[in-house]
Amino acid sequence: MRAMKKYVRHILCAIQETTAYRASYFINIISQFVSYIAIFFLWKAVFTAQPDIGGMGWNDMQGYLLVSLFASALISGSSEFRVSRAIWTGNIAVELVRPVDYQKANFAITVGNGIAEGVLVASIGLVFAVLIGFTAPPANPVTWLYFLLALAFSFMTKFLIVYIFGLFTFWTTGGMGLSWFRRGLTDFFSGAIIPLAFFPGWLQTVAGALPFRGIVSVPATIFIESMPQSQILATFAVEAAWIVGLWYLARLIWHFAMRKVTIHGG
Amino acid sequence: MAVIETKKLRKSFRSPLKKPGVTGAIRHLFRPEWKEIVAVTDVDLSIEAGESVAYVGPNGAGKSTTIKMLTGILLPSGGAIRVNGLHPYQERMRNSKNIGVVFGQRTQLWWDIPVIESFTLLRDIYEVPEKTYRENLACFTEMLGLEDLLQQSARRLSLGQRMRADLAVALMHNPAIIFLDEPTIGLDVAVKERIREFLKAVNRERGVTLMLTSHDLGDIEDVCRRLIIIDRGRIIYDGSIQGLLDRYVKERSIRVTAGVKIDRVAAARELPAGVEIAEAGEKEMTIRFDRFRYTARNVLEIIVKTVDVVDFQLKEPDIERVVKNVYEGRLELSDEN
Repeated sequence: MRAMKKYVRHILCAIQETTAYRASYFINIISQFVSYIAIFFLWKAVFTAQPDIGGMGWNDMQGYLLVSLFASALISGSSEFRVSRAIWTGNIAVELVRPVDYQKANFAITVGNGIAEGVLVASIGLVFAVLIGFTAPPANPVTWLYFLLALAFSFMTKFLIVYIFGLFTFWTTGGMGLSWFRRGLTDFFSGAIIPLAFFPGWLQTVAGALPFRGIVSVPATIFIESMPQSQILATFAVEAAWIVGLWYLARLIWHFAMRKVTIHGG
Repeated sequence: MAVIETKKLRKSFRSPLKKPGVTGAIRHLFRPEWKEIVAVTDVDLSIEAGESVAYVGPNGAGKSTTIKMLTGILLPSGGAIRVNGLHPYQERMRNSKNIGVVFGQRTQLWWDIPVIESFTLLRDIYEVPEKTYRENLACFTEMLGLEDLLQQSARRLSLGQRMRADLAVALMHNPAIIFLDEPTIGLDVAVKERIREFLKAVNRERGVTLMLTSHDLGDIEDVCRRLIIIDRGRIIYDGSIQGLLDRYVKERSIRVTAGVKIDRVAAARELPAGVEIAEAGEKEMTIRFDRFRYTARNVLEIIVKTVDVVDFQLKEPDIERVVKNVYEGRLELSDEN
């Protein structure tokens, strides 16, 4: 338990840090929100022309987009660049002289940021839901339970993917390109913009084999109850396996990075 | 017992070997060529508990690389390394509990939260008992004058304030050894003074072993008793500061002020071998002499014969000149002379 305390403290500090800069905190979230308004109207137009796409109605799509907004906003801005910035400025040296596990500490900080941002994103999401007249939240408490679990998986999966891409900075020395690539990959294969159900068959197979779908598609389809209950637990098992796998993959990459690469700056 | 011990410590990096221009860059992409750059080689260190050691050398000499290996950030390419009996890289977590590190150019504080919160974070990271933490916090707050800045975020601190807070952070968990990489870089005289006093007190009263790199020779003379000079990756001097002066600085000088105009030619005629005029003005003159052959009194007695001395001033050999000569390659310490 004592060993946990230091990571809990990281979470607390991260919450403080996130709220310390209210302006950038709001701008971050509002910019996400704005892009979702655009996506929302785009899909509204599509569903007006064709009320049923791949078994989804407009009401389902609204629920899907709400979850997508929430899940995408949970890990944003600061977490994205923390690792790559620490590497290219060489500040990672400071972290390495302390008795902390860098990966766990980073996860703790991301959780802290996520909690602080999550509260705000959830309230904005609620306003958004009222604005668009969304009236069909799941009635079944079991669905909510699964949904919350799926969100937890979503969070861990996204953290690990962001973290691993951050570590590549050890080899590339610049974080921007990697981050754009990571975003493109995640947005596409997680179903954040286009639900995976709308993909052609072969692309659905590809997306199904990748870990990204856990970030948006899984929690969103659970939320709109379009994933059969029988599939949910099996999906969770696969996600858990991905999380464990990615966790150790990140460790392996870290191991090689530390051996091969220099720390930048004096 | 030596708390820091290295034998034939070595670190080399692979650096991309690119031919000039775009073609070179493209060729490197497909067929990368590398050249090996040796940052540190054959470094033997043996530092006892409670010592205060200055580790100096020109930029790029390998100081920081050595410190990074001792603190577990970099894996050595060869040789043996032990800090408190541990391998700093392979046992990084355990080693880091015994050491404190200050990087003059970086901070351990979180940028956007109050300094005191960073302190609590560090307390939990190092699992410092509450009582120890309170005592240390009170002690460092007083010694370093931190009370006004504890509630501010690191972002708002001046460099000097930040450095003082970083020193407190590095010592909060009572480390046995503290490594300081250019702790006074960019600081004004008053802050430098305060930091030196603090470091001396920590070394003397708490018995913390101190190893610092610096370009400020004031830091070195004031805080450290032992000097290790590294140049181009190799240790070229290891010993006391006085020892370095004895070996490499033969001269002292005396500056005299005269009541009447000095007759330079007459004065020079009287001087024996090993004593010479370095500089002479209307009523002032500086005489350089071999400090192993003559005492200041000897020299003065000779000068008063020809010069109406009203005042004099002794200039001691200074470490700054020696180290500067080493940096500029004018003095090869490996040469016996």
